[in-house]
Amino acid sequence: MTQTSTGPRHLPAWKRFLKTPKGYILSALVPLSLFAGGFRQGPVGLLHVLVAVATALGVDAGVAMWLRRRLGFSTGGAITGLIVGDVLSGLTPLYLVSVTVTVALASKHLLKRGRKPIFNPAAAGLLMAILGFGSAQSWWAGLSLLPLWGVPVLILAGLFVAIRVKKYPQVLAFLGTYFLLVLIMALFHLGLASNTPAAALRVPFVNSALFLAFFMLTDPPTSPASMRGQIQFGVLVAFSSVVLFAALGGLSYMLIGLLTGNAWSAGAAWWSRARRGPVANKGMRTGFWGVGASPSQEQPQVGSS
Amino acid sequence: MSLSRSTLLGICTVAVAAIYSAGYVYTEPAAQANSLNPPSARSSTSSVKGQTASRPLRYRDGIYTASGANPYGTLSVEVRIASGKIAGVRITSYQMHYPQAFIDPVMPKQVLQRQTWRVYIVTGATASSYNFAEAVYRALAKAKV
Repeated sequence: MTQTSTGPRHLPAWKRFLKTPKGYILSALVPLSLFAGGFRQGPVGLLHVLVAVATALGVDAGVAMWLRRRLGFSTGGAITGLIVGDVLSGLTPLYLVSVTVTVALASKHLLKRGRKPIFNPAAAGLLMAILGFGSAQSWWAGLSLLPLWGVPVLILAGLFVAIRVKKYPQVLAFLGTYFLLVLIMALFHLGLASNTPAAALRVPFVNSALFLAFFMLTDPPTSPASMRGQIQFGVLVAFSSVVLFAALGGLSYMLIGLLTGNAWSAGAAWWSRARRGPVANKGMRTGFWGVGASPSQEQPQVGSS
Repeated sequence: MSLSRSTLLGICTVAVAAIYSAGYVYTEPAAQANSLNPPSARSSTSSVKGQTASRPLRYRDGIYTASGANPYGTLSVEVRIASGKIAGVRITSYQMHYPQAFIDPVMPKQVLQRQTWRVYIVTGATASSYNFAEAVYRALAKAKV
């Protein structure tokens, strides 16, 4: 995928990379994973990350060779592997880590709208791991295995990413709706015995919501760019997630919510372009919510995480 | 425009934090109720890792049920006592986030072998292990002579 640099040309390539959305995500996720890796279950988690990233790089290299593209370091694949490794529990067997990443990247390469994946690859892989293999997910890099003091650390790392990739409105819309609906659940005594509103607002579940909001929801290719689109997207993902949480519980509610939002986002973008017609679309940049998005609101569209 | 947008985002940030805080405070009693585990069960379960089986206790014969709960969910067990000893342990209800297979049948077997609720926790399923140990502890407390 095309990688757009936003930094000045005189900067070294690695510094310019760090100023791209992928660079911002890696700058936050790698230290966060290493930090979480220093605590309980961390070493196993870090091993999972290594296996996941290696698998991702191998799969993306295989796809590049298959399509006769130039071989290179797939940062998008590495981010997908990193997120998968960050989320899967330490109980997950290594082969399942690799399978999860492979499915994630298959979704990225096969389910596309133009050159962009429709679904967040990591979410697609992780959902398959739950539904197909009953795998556990601890979201350990979201510091979910640490006491409450881990939450501010997670928020700081997440804010860095959300603001830098210009997705903060989306994160706020998601978290605001999510917490509001959970509060309503509590007020009306809704929810399952194993999925109470009290649990949703506390460690470790609130960590998974924050991790998803900051590092998965903000994936540029699979989420809208405009302010209006971001808010609609965040509200939809949160609403879908909480409804599933209240009705079914389990571990997959936020992943399904995110994938629902991805599908809606892609569908809305397709509908928007279809209404404009082929003449109006000629020469237009590919982008979500192009009608309402001003040039300043457009983000560089880079590889999916 | 830039300033007003920043201001708006700042206000929204405060609003989200306020909503979260309201929910946290409102659900605090429920969270406290879910974490009312016997202190002995909590502290001892993890501290006895590596110890040998404790001395056998005398229990009344019969079938006893109890539950364990924490913020991760609840589970119930049925403990069968025969001839004053633990003859069977069965998980009758499991409403935890993690699959039951992580602790079942590993932990019930341990209880049978060691004749105590003090069993090894399953790494990675700590919350489920605590709940199981707590439930067995409570069932055995009912069975005590």
